[in-house]
Order: sequence, then structure tokens, then C-alpha cells
Amino acid sequence: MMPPDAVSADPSPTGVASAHMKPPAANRAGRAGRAGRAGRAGRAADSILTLLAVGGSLCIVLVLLAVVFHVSIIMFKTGSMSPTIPAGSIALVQEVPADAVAVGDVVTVDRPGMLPVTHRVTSVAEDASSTTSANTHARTLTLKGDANRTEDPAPYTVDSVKRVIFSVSGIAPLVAQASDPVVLGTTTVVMAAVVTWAFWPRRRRAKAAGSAALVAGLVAVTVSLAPPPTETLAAWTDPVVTTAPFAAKVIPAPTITGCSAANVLLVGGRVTITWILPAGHAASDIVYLWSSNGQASGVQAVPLSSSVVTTGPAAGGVYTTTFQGALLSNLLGGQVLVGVRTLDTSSWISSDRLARASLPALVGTGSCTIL
Amino acid sequence: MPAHAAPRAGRVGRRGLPRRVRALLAGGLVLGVGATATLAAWVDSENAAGSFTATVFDTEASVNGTTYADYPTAPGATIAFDTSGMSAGSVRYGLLSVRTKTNSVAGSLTIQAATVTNGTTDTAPLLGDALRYRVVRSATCTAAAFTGTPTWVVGGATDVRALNTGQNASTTVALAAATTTAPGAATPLCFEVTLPTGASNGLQGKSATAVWTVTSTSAQ
Repeated sequence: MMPPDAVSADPSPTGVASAHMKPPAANRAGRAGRAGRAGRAGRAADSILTLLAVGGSLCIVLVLLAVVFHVSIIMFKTGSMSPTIPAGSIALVQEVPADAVAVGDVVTVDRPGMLPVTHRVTSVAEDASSTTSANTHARTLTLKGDANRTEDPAPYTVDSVKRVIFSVSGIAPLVAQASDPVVLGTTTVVMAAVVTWAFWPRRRRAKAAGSAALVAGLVAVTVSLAPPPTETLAAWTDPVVTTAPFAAKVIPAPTITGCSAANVLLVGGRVTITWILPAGHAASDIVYLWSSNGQASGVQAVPLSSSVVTTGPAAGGVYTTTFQGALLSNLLGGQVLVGVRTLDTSSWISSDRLARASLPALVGTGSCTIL
Repeated sequence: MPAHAAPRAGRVGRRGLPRRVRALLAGGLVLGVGATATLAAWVDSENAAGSFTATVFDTEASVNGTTYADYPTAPGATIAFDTSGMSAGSVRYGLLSVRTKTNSVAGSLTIQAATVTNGTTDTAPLLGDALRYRVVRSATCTAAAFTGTPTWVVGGATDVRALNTGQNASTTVALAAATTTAPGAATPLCFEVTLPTGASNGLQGKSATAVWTVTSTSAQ
């Protein structure tokens, strides 16, 4: 790249390069002529460049501070942090360990494969990994956008976050434009030209312009080495709430409608109950019960056999079950519990329906009570 | 520039490379660093599209797949589960469809752990503790939706979850963007709630209410 002043000077006899070849007097005259024409423009350029240099120095300091203190710029693509931080804001953020975060801070957390999200911290929990692993800074953060009705669906477990120091609304598009490859590329070419021009060997040159150009070059290098501004979402959330009631059914029990007890000649004890089926069940669902000690706690199921016989259904859906024989042979003169329950196909059972029978020691009729 | 001027001006640097070369190299340094930054920005421009316009993100839900409404707060939508009493081995199916409203950007949804309320007079064992659930992405909401290799959202082929657990980790359920004239394509979620075989006999007559919050998050 040819320095701009050299190009413009070339055809002119008062140009810098040509002036070198003239005798001292001519050289002085040329210098005076050049100063006359270019002086005002040069001075204006000088002041502009000096101004730029001051701004640039500030820039360099900021960039250095940013690198040293892990400060960077984020740009908000969405506005769930409004009204505090609307979409299109930029914010200065500082990377801090997650255990330094307090409820109420606005933080940016990275998400694998997605844009980071920036929301307000609503709770901080010590992560299990922070007590067991080497990293004691890990925390589980719950975040919520100020404008969102609900918290982010999943908490974030992070070692470090970027905490928002302050934000400026509305200028993210400008910053983003500065990061545009075309703008960056153009700036690069221009800055490279300026730097080359600044170093280009010349006898004399406005000092301020030279140093300002150098500073500008330095700024260009430093700024492009600084962490570039990154984008963040302040993602919107929208909840859908659903309510679903569930209930477990109750397995209905059979109903005992009558019972009788007797000591029958040649047979021994005999207890007969009549019962009707519960709705939705068949006789095959019924389990027969018997308690030898007369207590509900001793109730056990007995299969149908010669000792437990069921007939029916008679009119009105009435079944008759007779308990006798071996089941009752040792219980004459005592009490016995007999009964029925329902066994559901789910293997759930109904409550027990029992009757207490007193068997006489001698042949005759006993008593029976439906419990 | 006259050719004979070059050696003289180039000789200003007394040691090493001529000063003009060094001036060019200094420019080259800026060019190199800048080019690197430019290239990085170029490669990065895929996800740094740089749109800062205000976006709209709004969702609505339906329990029948046709009528959509907002259900931002409890009790919200009531999924059409068969409400007859359950017993050990009972399975219930219910559909919840979520979609973005007209103009809305795309997003993703997350089924969060249900808040379970047991019957006020119930004592242990509690129905809410015994119920298990799974969710697949399917508009057909029957047992068939859970066979083969469906898109699991909660649980899996042999994995049924307690009501108070949420969506499978690292599972993302996308919500399509809407257009300016029509809502986005619906994301149907088929819930399967089971009272497992072998569930305690003591659960008879118990009740439980599950409140699920499906939180959608905008992609932008």
C-alpha cells in the first residue's frame, strides 16, 4: 500500500520524495510551498488524529482492563429482561465464579450448542458436585426473566457466570454492525494503510499525525485481540398448566344377607351364609374366609371343597355357601368366623364381609350374627 | 515515485531491513490481526445473524387437538384422562398439544415435574406416590403410541417415572415457529399414567391431583 501523501506528492515538484533531490535552496522553497498548501489541511487532520489518539488510548486501557478483569460486552437479542434491559441493549459483564453470585444478580450463563441466556437469579443452591469434586465454585442457579411469568424450565449448574455490571439500551445493532465481517475487513485494510503510512520513511512529517496514526494502529490491533462482543438471549418463557385428577377405585365387597349355625347329627358343625355379588363381579371373584380362633385377625382364605360349598344364584342373585366338615370339627361349643370377600382382576381385594357363628356342643341350632 | 529516490529513503533505517520494508511489515501486522478477526467474525456469522428486532413468543395449548387456548395458571387445561377409578395395572392416556401463536418465533418446551396433591384425608400409602407416567411425542394417544421407538419425552420403553420428576435430561422438544398468518405446527404430547401392577391394596379409594407445567422457551 502506497502512503497517501507520497502518491499525491509524486507528480508535484514540491513532493517529499522529489524534494530530496533538489539543492538546499530549492528544497527550502519546496518545503515552504508545501506547508502553505497542505498546512491547514494537515493541522485539521492532526487535531482529528490527536482526538482519535486520545479516544484510542482510552480504548486500549479499557481493552486491557477487560482482558485482565474478564470483562466483556454482551448484546441482548431478546427482551425478557425488559424493562430493565430491553432487546437491542448491550451490557458490560464480568466473569465471576458461580459461588460469588447472589439472588437478584443478572447473569449470563452459557448453554451448550445454544446462545447463552441472561436472566435474573432467583435462587442459588450448592451443587452436589461442589462438595465432592475439585471445583468448589459450582452452583445450581435458578433464573427468571423479569418479564417472564415463570422461571427458566431447568436450573443451570455452572462453575462461572458473567455478571451484568451495567447495560445501555438500543446500541446493540451498532455494535453488531462493527463486528460485521465487511466492516471489520474494511477497517483492517484502512488501519493497515494508516500504519504503513505512519512508518513510511520521510524527512519530516507532522509529529502528531504520525503518533496518532501509530496509536490508531495499536488500537486496531488491541481491539481486534479483545474478546469480541457476544450475543445473548433473554429468552421468553410461556407456561401451559394442566391439571389431572386421578382416583383409585374401591373394590366392592359382597353383601351377606343371612346366616345360620347348627350342630347337625352325623355331620357336626355347619354354618350357612347367604350373600349377593357386588356389581361388576362374578362368583368366581369371590374368596371364602374362615377364622378358627373367632377373631378377625385370624381370617384366612379357604378354597371351595367338600367343606365349603356354594350354590346359586337363586332368585334375587342370592348365593348360599355352607361351611362344614373338617373346618368346623374341632370348634363345636365354640365360635367361628366365616365370610366372603372380592378378589379383583387387579389382585386388589375388597374389605372382608364376616359372620360370627356359635356352634352348640350338642346337636341343635346355634346362633349366627352378621358382622 | 522516481526509482532513484527509493534507495535513499529506504536507507533511513541504518540497521537490518530497510525502513520501507519495516513500514510495510507493520502494516502487514495490522492486516494479519484484522484479517484473523474478520475471518472469525465471518465464520461466526451463522449464529450471529445480528437481529435485534423485538420478537414475539406466545404459546397456546389444547387437550383435544382442535381447540386452543391460553392456560397460564392453575388449574389450566384438564387433560382428558379416563377418570374412572384406577386399580393396580390401570393405564390412562391423555393428550396435550402445544403450539406457537401467530407471529411467534420458534422455541422448545419442557415438561416440568408435576406438583402432586393427595386427597386431604389420605394416609400412606398415597396414590400420588404410587402413580407413574411417561410421555411421548405423538398425536395418536393410545397404547400404540408407546410401542416401537417413539420420541420419548419422559421415561422410556422400560422406564416409568414418578409424577414429581420432569422431562428426560438432555431431551429437547421443539416448538415450530408460527407465520404471520397462522399458528405454528402443534407439538402433541401423549401422557400415559399408570398405577403399576402390584400397587398396594391400601391405595383403594385414595385420590391425587397432578399439576404439570409445560414451560416453553423461545429460541430467540
